[in-house]
Amino acid sequence: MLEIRNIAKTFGTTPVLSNVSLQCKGGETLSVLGKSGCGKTTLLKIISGLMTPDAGTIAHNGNDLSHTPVEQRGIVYLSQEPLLFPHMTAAENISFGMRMRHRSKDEVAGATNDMLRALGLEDHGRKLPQALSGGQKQRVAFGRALLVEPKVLLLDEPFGSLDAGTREEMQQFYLHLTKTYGFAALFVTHDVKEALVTGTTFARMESGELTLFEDLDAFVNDPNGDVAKERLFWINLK
Amino acid sequence: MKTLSGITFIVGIVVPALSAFVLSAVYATGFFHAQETSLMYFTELVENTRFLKSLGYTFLLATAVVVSSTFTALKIAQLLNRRMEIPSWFLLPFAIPPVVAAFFGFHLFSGVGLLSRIAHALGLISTPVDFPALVNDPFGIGTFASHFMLCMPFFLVYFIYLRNQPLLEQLEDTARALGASQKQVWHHIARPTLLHKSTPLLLVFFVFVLGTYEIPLLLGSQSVRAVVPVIVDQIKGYNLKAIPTGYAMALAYSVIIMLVAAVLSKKMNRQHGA
Repeated sequence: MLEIRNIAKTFGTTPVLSNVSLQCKGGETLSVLGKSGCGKTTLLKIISGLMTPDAGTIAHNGNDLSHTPVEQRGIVYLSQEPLLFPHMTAAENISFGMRMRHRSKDEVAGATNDMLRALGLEDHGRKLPQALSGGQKQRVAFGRALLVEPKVLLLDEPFGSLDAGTREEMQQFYLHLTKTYGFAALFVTHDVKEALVTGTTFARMESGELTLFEDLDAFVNDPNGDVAKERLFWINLK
Repeated sequence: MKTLSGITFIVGIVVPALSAFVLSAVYATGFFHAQETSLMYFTELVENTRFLKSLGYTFLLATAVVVSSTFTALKIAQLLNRRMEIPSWFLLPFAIPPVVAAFFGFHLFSGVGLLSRIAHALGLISTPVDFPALVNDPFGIGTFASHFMLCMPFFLVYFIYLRNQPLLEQLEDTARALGASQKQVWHHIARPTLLHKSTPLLLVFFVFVLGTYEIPLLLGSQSVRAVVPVIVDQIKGYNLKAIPTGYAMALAYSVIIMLVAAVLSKKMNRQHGA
């Protein structure tokens, strides 16, 4: 279980995160709904180790990870851009983590082919990223992350750059992956529907403060939340 | 606007280049110096190995300069911090024209040059003759070093600039999050990405070194000479009979460069997935 306690971060004199605490169990997806600039990306970068917090701790299954280097945390961060390595094929991108761990060639090839099949990309393994569509690139990015068997997956609006149809398809694909691989995940988005579709637990972030909800009802009925505003919009639509 | 730029390109670049090409071909057939046109000057190029040796030497020199400059600049870029402002003095070599670089190289590497004097002051040599031949030497060390001094700082600045781009930083962070060590990140992500993105620039420099004149003229080997000084000697020399051979060399050289550029750019496009 991922445990974050009292994380705080200030840029200059501007506080970005104020005492953020949360928990996320294996197999759970904590959907964090928040507008742009509310501190979501900073929180994910701190958890992944790409940024240092001013205060607070990060632990997984009781082990303090606060001072563990990025490469040893086992926490993978996926951003809006798939960030595939441009000089590697789709298969080489997917197998990157395993190759860095010096796994045997046979093991890497077997796992990569299995992953390509699971992603529905068995015919695209030899293609370079620029020859793939936006949805295919995100699938490769997911496959690359999952093959290193991460403790936690951090998703920073991963479908934000996709068109509506592909985005919906990728949300369903994500649900399929969570069921298959059972990883713990923090899914950050500003899209209400996406938060509801992908999350098993829910939180709202505003001006660097995180509010956790007990269940779906509490999240949906939050008077200050975007879900209530969205429902009101549809009710009042004539 | 597009039509205007197209016309400007055709009038400014294509027409003069084609005209020069046609003129070279006409000269090379001996039209202006003989009673009848002939291809003997082209066959002479193959029979007389001087041109082929010059061509081979020039390709070898350009390859050595670009490869060594690239790997030195990459190594320095690796050792420098990832986020670094480019110091203004790094840009100094760009202000130096090749002819100045050639004279600078001469004053640095010749028997009476700065390095020789330092060696003498340190008691390593007793006369300038004892200093190893670095200018007009058979291996082209002075030519190589002068080109290296021009190219390497440019490559370094370009690599630092590319490394400062947010995309490369994000790719490196992604690799680290996937478990790669700093060393692995450099070898598997930063270095190949820098090479991948700078291939067009490296090719342009390769062609630039192939075509340089002043540096090999002043510092180059006297036995096997770089191809451009040889061509200029043939065309500008007092021997009028050598002029068609010079034009035949120029034409053959241009065709070879165009073929090399076409093959390399095709290979590059394939690498970039175009």
